[in-house]
Amino acid sequence: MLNERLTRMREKYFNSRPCITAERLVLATEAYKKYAGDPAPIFRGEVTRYVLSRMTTLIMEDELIVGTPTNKYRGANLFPEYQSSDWYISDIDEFPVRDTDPYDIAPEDRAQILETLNSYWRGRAIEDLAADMLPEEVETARQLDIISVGLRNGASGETMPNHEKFLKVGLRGFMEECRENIRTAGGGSIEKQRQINFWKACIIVCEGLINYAHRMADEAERQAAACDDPVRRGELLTIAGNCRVVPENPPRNFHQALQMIWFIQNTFHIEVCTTACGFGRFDQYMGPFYAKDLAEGRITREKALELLECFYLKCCEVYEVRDKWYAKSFAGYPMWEILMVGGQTPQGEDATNDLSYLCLDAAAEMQTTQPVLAVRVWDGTPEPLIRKGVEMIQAGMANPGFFNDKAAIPMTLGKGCTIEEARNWAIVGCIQPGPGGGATDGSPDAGYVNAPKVLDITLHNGVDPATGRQVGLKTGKAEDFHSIEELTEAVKKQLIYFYGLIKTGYDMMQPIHAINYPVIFAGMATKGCVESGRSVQEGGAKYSTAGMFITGAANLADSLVAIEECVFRDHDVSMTDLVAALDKNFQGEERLRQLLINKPPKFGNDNKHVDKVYEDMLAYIADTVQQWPDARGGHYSFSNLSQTVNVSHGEACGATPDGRLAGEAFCDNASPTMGRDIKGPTATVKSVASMHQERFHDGALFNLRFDPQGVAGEKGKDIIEGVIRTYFDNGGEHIQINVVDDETLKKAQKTPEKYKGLMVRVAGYMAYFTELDKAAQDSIIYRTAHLKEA
Amino acid sequence: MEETNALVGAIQKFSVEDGPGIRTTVFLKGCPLACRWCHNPELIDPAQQLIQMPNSCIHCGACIWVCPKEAVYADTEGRIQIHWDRCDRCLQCTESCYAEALQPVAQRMTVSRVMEEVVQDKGFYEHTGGGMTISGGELLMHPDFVRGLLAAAGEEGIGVCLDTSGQGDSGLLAEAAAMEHVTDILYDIKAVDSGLHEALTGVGSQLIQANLKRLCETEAVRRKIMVRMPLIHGLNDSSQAIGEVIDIMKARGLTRATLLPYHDLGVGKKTRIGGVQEMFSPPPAERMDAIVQAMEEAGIEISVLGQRR
Repeated sequence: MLNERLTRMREKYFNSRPCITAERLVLATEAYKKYAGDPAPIFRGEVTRYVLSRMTTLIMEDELIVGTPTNKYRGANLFPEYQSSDWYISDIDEFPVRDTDPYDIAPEDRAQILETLNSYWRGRAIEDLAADMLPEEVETARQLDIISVGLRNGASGETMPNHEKFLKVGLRGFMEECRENIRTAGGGSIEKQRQINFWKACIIVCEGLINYAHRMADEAERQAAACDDPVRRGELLTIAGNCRVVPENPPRNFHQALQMIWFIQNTFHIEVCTTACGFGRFDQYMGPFYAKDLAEGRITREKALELLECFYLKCCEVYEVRDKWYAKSFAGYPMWEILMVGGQTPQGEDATNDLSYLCLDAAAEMQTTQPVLAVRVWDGTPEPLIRKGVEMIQAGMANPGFFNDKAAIPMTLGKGCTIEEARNWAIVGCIQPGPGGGATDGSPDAGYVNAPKVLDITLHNGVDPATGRQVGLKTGKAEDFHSIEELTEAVKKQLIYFYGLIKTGYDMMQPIHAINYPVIFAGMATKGCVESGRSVQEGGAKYSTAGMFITGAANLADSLVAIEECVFRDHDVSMTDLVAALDKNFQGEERLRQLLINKPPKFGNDNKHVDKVYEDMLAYIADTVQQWPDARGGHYSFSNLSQTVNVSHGEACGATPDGRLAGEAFCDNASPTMGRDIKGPTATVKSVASMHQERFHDGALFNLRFDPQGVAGEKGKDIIEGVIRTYFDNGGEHIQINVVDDETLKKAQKTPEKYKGLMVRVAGYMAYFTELDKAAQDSIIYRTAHLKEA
Repeated sequence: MEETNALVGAIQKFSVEDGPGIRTTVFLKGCPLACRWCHNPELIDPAQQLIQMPNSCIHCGACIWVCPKEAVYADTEGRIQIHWDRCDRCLQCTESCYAEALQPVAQRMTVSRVMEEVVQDKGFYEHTGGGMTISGGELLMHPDFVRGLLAAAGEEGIGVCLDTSGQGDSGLLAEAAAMEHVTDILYDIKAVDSGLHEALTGVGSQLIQANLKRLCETEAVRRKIMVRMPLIHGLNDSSQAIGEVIDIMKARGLTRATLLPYHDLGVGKKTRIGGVQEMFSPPPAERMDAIVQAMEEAGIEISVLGQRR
């Protein structure tokens, strides 16, 4: 049961909307003008310090954990360094009314934003540079939605800060280390001077953050002095005291440690348009503070729960403003603030502690989309921890997700780390395991390939049928393929060609980020950067990877098998006629479409042949792209995930040989195509588990939906747990389960105001169902709900 | 020699209401009873049949052209209809129907073919205490096939649940029930009184009751039995009918029962195989409560399908 404070705070959250504010933009722009000419890292450090030293110190009613990225509640910042002012300006009146992820903008903010962008920022964003810089074939493929290119209008943002170190040494420790490094380096070479500049920049940002924290303390004291309620006055004074200790110094108790973590998270969102900044193994680095406070009688379980819940609500108050395409593709304001519990220690012992359970309790009470809870499961995980997670799932909370050490550890080892680091793995992004302890910069997504569209292009000898443009390789005319093997070879060549275009684009973007707008604080927070004196964009992190993703993997496999059976084996239709039918979106060819849907087996039904076709195709992609280095000396990782890009990529793709009509959404992530897994969830689970996920260094994302009636009661818990465990036994890395029926979802679609709190798992994240646009909602409704009356 | 085979109506994975844990239910075609409310009426006739799935129909008309008996036609509203009296079940129409709006009710399958699918979910059985359920139709109509399935499941270490009406070969039933890896028996009681039973199902209850008595004589077998009772308002939910069920359960030392309130899924299916089934209703809520109360007072542990207590 939520206490009164949290009930009020949660209510306030649900009855408000996010907004875009001008403050950071205006301050940062002043700083960019003031410090222009400084070397990039210092320049960037100064900008962040300037903002941190002047921004509003906002402490709101009831808060126990403080710090906001903007001057308003639920405010979002604009980052015209990375994202083009062109769409900021053209969309400014659309933000409040757009279908997905709307943001309010107050009139005074609107005026300031337009004035600042128009007077200074036009043409300066990395996104603006990208348009001129990226080769034509990359831009064309991107514009046609065959690929996406990360870093074009995003920034480094899939990070997992080294919280252990922050908690241990405080910002003072970082500053001292940087000063020592500067002294030792001494200068005298370009490389050394670059390092020195980076270290100086780190010190500058730390000073800015300390300044911010001290001003927060001042504000808390000011509010305390004016407060009539002695209880609240005491709380405000505690807040003030906390802000004087952290982040400057290591925290002395659980409350201060939470405040420390929040300051770090908050600063990410002031420095850069952060996409996915996870908390890593929260119960591991926070557990000792909780245990010590408990043991020494400074805290009760109840009080700790309240603090944790205040912290969770803060996690809901950060945003990344995305353009229309990304807002649709990442619908529901996801921030991927993954908070992990359970698993094993670097030495291979069980790591579960009291805080692991408390974290789940807080999530069960709050039921907000952030943070996203992740339970790591291994042989030694206590049954009650899994059971607790299962009970939350059964209750329809869509939280937590479950992760399998047996799959994730080999994936992590694939990134080149030690076994201890692999056992300490944590999520970087949404489901991508990285060496733990804040050692990994996953960087943002390198890009997604629209796999079914690549098949369509292959069937047209490299021509995009929608525009008639030659966008792919000339691998031969459709009618000249004489076997499925020949066609498969051609598709593989085309896929790798398009992954290659992503690499070209991403490798061109990466150095621009490193040279023009390196991230300082996010770099400092990542293990390896302070040691090497390089930002994450320069490859400073101990481990750097960049994710290559796929949309429509099941549609591709199903289509290949359909061609194999209906064209090459049984001659139900000639290749020419099939392609003609696809080109006219099966108009007048419904019989053929039905044959393609019903006759050949489909992925998701525990059919060895289709599953193997699927597995081989993905293994080929993974094994190829994972050999490629990226521009900062890291390497590419493959992940079988699509987020909701399956919707936007589906819209851009014509009809496919699996019987899918033009424009329809593709399969959801690693799941089978909606409605094509007809043998129930056990068959689905087996198919998805069979793809040898351990070969994908960045994992595979699996969504499953159950009808609540079918998994009710005690037996229902056994069933859900049995499904999770069998999936893991068979090699699955990650599974997340929605327990919600069609009827509820349809009602929520019609009367959203009555279903504000209805949470669903969309991709690697949770969202409020009613905040998704109709296409994304439909794709969840069409996600096969297992266990309905036959 | 040809391997034993049978007409299999469906192999339903992830069955969670036909015995403990996650199960795979094998539905065999053919049943000696013809319950008036049967929810699987397409599995009564032991012979192959045609079934319509009108919602899947794309109205291409291929079935009309291919039918040698001119049994398929489109009505004035363009819906595909069957002259069932003309249909000789050649099933050529099903081969022409790419949309699967016309389908054979069952597939002829060998034991090993069935087991291939059953074995696929072994991991789920192990984690949840599940296994295979043999249902129907009536499993006792397929002695060789059922013996084959039981032997194969035994070799695979898969537990089996029998879902039976009790009407059939007593020896086979006793033999199967006694097997160690047969962990559960769902035993239907529609009514105890033989006259009533005959009125409801077309056959009297003597054999069913005799078989039940025989099974209950062995303690180990008796403990496997879960009585299943469909409840159809006005047919078998009177105080007297329920009282008789309670009495017989007491007499046999049976303590667990699942009640299955009537649902009308059979009505539509019956139409789609060219028949007509009466529409009934489940007992009203207060009657349902009274039945549950009476049974619980008699010391019977009750669950109601779809709403666990």
